[in-house]
Amino acid sequence: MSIANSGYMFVLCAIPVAFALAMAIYFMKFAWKKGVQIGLKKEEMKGIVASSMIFSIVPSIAVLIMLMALMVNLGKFFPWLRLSVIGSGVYETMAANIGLQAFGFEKFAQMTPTAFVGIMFIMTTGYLFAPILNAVLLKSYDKGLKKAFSKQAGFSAVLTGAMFCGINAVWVPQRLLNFKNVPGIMAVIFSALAMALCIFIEKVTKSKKFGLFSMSIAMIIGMIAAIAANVMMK
Amino acid sequence: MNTNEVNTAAAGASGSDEYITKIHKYGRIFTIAAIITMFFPFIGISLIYGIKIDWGLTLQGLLNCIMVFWVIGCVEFVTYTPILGPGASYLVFITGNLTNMKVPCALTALDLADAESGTDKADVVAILATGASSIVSVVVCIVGMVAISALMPVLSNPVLAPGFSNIVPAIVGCLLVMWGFKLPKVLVPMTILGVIVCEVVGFTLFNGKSSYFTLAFVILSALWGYFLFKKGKIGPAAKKK
Repeated sequence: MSIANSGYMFVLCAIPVAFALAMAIYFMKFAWKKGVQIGLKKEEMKGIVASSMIFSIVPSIAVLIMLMALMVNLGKFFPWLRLSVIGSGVYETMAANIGLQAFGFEKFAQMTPTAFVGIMFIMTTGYLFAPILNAVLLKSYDKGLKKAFSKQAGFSAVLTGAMFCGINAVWVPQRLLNFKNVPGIMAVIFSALAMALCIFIEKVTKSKKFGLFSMSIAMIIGMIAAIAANVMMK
Repeated sequence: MNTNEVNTAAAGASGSDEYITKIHKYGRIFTIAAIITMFFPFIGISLIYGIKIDWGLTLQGLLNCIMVFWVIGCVEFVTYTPILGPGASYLVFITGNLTNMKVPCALTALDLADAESGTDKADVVAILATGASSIVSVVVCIVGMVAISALMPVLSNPVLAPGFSNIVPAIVGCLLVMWGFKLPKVLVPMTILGVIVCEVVGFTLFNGKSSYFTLAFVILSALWGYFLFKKGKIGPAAKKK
């Protein structure tokens, strides 16, 4: 653990984190300029940035909990890197456990420096496929999509919307039929109801500003429902 | 084409090729550089502390990992990139946390801005949303790393824990309604079909092999959407009716 929490480790992890942060800022500046060029109002773009920041705070807390769990086993800095760059709160614990098992250990406390380095490699490489595909194929994939979209006006919105509905068709049963997690089911139901109410209020009041925060409000109501369900089940 | 459409098309096409070329150029550069920097801790720590790498066991573990995660990566690439657009795709696949944060965030922003996927406007909106989201998640992680001992009592509070562990279900509920309003003719039958398939194959299999089911449902849903679009039931033709 002394290696995992060393100053060297901090510096080596801080480089990719700083890089990802720089990438986000660079792309945002680039998009802002393009937004102005195509006639988007600065207020509108500021609203998008503000609502996205507010929306992201709550899911970031979930990431923080994953970070806390991983820190106990892999030190402070590597989990911080994994959850800030490329990684996902959902998969990192799984990847770390696969690595641990490969080295024949049952507990992270038994981990040797060789196993720690091996686990770092496994976690880093294991989730690299999507960025690699992006670097190699995204340009041609995007070109193909744009070609298909240009032939029929309005088709892009339909296709991407339909694709998302397909994703949702898997996400919903995964959460709604998971009877081992009743608070999760309540979270789905109540956040959906709250979202419907928010959309109704937004339409009645014609308030775009309210719309900016409706998802955050509905999400928090869903979380409160999960907490309440858990308390009532006890 | 009416005046409004002409203006929109002109705004979207203005410098579009140059913009997209730059997005791909810098997207690729940043992606490749980020992948390289991700290996710094692994290489640096092995060199600094002289730790010998056991390639046999490492590759064995990697193989197990690849079997699970590369399928997920492939599905995420195929399904998320058309929704997010190229700029945001480069960004989110580097900053991570797609399902639980970046994708819902981008979808909400696109909905609020009334931006149609595939246009420059959608690309701009998605970049701004996911960029802002990335900054927040990185900053929260920095705060968490520095102040973990102070935050521990709150984050591990047994009363609050079910709320924190059910953020994704809460997001799913929100998106279900949001898209239910936008594309009910696609979302409702697909969601019902998803529930039926889950009941038939069993929750364990459905949950365990969700990447494969996601890919199948995305293809099916796209085909169903195309069918309805061709029939004039959804899309611009349906709005005119």
